[in-house]
Amino acid sequence: MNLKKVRTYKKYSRYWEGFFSKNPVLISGLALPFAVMVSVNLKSAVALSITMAGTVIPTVLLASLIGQKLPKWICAIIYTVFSMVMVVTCAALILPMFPEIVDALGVYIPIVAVNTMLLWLCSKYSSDKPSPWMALVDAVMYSLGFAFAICLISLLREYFGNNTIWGVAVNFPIKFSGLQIAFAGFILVAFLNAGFRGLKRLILFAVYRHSNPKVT
Amino acid sequence: MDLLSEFLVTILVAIVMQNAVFTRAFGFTKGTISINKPRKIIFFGSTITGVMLATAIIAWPLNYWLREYNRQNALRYLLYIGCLCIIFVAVHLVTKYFVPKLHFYYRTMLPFAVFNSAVLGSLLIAAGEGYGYLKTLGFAIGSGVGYTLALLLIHEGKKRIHLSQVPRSFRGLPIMILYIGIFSLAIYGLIGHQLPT
Repeated sequence: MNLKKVRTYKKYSRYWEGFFSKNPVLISGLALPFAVMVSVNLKSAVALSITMAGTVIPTVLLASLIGQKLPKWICAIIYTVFSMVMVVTCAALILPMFPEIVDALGVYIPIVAVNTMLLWLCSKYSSDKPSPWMALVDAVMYSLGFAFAICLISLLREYFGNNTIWGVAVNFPIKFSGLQIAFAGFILVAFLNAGFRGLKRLILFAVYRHSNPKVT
Repeated sequence: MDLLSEFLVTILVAIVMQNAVFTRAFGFTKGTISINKPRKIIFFGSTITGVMLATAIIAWPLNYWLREYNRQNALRYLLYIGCLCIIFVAVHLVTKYFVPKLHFYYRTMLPFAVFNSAVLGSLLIAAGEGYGYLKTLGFAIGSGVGYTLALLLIHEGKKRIHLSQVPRSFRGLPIMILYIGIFSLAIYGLIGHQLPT
C-alpha cells in the first residue's frame, strides 16, 4: 500500500485546510448560526463575511502573539473585548456600503465577536508553539472558507427562495419561498455539510487510487 | 400580579416560541451538540442561565442610563461584552478561592459558557426590543432554560439516531443539523406561522 501521495496531499493541504478540508461551516460545524439565519441573501453574506474577516484575522494574530505570555482566563477577556472593538469598527466601515443590510443583520453582527470559529482559532494559537505566520494563514483561510460557505448558501437561498441574485430579479419558473425561513437554513446546511464531507472523502480516495491502481 | 404574569409569560415565550437554538440558532455549534451526558448538559445550561441572569441584572440599568449616548448600537455592544467580562472574572475568582472543586470543572468550560452567542444574542435581543427590567430578567431566565432544554432534546435525539442506519456522509454533524431543522420547523408551526405561498 503506497500512501506517499496521500501524505503529500495532506502535507500541502495544511495551508488551505481552512478553505476546504476543514471548512469552518461545511465540514467543521463552526459559526453555524450565521450560516443558518443570516444567509438569506448575497448582500448579507458579503457584509457578514467582511465583518468576520476583519474581526478574525487581527484577533487570531493577537492570540498568537500574546497567547502564551498571559494566563488563559485573562487572554479570553482580552480576545473578546478586542474582537468586539473590531466588530464595531467593521460595522461602521460596512455601514455606508450596505446601509439596509447592517440593520437587517441585527444581533448577528455583535455575536461575530463570540463566534466559535474565532474562539477555536484563538485557543489553538494560544496553546502550544504559536506561530504568527501560520496563525495569519489559518485566519485568512478560515475567513475565506467561511465567506465561500455562507455565500454559497445565500446564493442558493436567494436564487431559489426569492428568485433574485444580489437583489436583481432573475427568471426562474418556481419560487420556493420557504427557503428563506430558519428551518430551511438548517436543512440546507445539513445537506451541504454531508455533500462536502462526501466530496472530501472522494478526493482523498482518488489520490490514494492514483498511487495504488491495483489495490482493490 | 400583572408584573408577575408578564414575567412568567416572558419566560414561557423565551423557552418555547423564541427558543435560542431552534428559532435563532444561537449557541448552536458542533461542540455544544456533542455534549454526551445529560448531567453535563444541565450543568452547562445552568451556568449559562446564571450568567445571563447576572449580566442582565447589571447591564440593563447601565444600558438605560447610557441610552442617549448610544450611536448605532456600538456602545450597547461594548457595554454588554464588558458586563460579560465582569461576570466572567467574578465567577472565575470566586470559584478559584472559595469553591475550588467547582473551579476544576469551570477551568475549561467557563469561557465557552460566558462568551457564548446564546448569552450575548439573547441579552442584546432583550435590549433591542426595549424590554423593561423585569421582562429582561424573565427573558434571560427563559432563554437559558430554553437553551438547556433544547440541548437535552438534541441529546435525546442523538441517542436514537446512533441506533439507526444513517448514510455515511450524513453520520455525525449533518444528521444532527437535519434533526434540529425538523424541530425548528415544528416550532415554526407551533407558533402559528404558515409557510409562505
